[in-house]
Amino acid sequence: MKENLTDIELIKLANTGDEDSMTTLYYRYRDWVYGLAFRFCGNKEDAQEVLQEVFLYFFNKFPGFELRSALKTFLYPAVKNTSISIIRKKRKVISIDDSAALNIPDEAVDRAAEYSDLSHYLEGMTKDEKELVLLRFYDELKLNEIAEVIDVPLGTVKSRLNRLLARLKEKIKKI
Amino acid sequence: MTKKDDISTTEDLKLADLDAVRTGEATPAPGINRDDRQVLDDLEKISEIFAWAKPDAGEIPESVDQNVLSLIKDKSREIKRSRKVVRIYPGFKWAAAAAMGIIVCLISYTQLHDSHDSPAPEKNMKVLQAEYDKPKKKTLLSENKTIPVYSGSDKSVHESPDDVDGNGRVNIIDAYIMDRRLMSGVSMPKKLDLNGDGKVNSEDINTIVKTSVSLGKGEV
Repeated sequence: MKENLTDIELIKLANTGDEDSMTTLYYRYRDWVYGLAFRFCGNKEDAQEVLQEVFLYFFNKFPGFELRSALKTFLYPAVKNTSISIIRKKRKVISIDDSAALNIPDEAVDRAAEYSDLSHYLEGMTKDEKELVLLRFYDELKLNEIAEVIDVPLGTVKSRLNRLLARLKEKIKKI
Repeated sequence: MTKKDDISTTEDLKLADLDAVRTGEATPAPGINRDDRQVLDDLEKISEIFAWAKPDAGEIPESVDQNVLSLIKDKSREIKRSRKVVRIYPGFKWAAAAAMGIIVCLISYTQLHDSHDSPAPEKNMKVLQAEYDKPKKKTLLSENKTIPVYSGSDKSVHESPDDVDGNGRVNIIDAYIMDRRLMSGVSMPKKLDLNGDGKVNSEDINTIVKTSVSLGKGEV
């Protein structure tokens, strides 16, 4: 195993067919992918299916995969879209508007809010605001990673997060 | 400039900037004050609440890991196999490219050649037949050709009837000129009926040729 290597170094080796590097990448990100999939899907079975689908998609990019940003920003849309696809397949509902797949279903965001006391903190927030807070505190993405994932400038992310943190700060004071 | 550098501490975005400090994305500004420390504590608390609220998805089953690891093994083998081909035959890529180039050239040449020489395969026989049936171009002294004889004068014909170009010498040029005139259908003076058969034709040209190649007979 090559735990000390960076993602870029591992990907470079994986492009040559190095099995250890691929395995290290899997173990480095599997829990994060699984947690995210579980947030979107709401059950373990689907989350496990998403986990396998996402890594199948990822490793099929080799050889020739180039990492242009953080690996999480590559994996995040893959997890999100695969989860939505699996949720829809299970529901047997075919959406006419395919663009809907680009957005996280409301229930996937709300599902996270249902856990414990989070609904209290996320109360009054729009779907996008909730998603931003969840990306930051739940999925533990960095500011630049969030900017890439939701495709807005870093300054916009900071400004939105600043506003949301002010509201969250007020709420925790009341506890 | 790194992403870390992008995070500047301004009053407007203080909470977001301090949150970046909390996660280690940014370094705390020197001389951080008590209020900022308090804000950092609050942000840490928010983070803990979310972490605590995170549902336990449970352990990932061994079978899931095995599936992915098996996929990795297959993929690794596939990549190594494709790389091995290139390693065994180092010039493989170049050879393939050269072969492809030659094939393209051959196809282009064949198509070009066909478009010029063969209008269409089914027409080939007809074209050949037409070529065969077409009257052959008459060459010098090729056949007897009779043209009308006129009795007018011709400046090119001088005292010696053989000297067609009137240069004072009877040579192969005279035969050539006469043949050209016969071929083009120009009326020939009666004087050029050199063999006296009443016709100006290729027999008369033969007479000029015989005269021109005879030793000592070229001079008029």
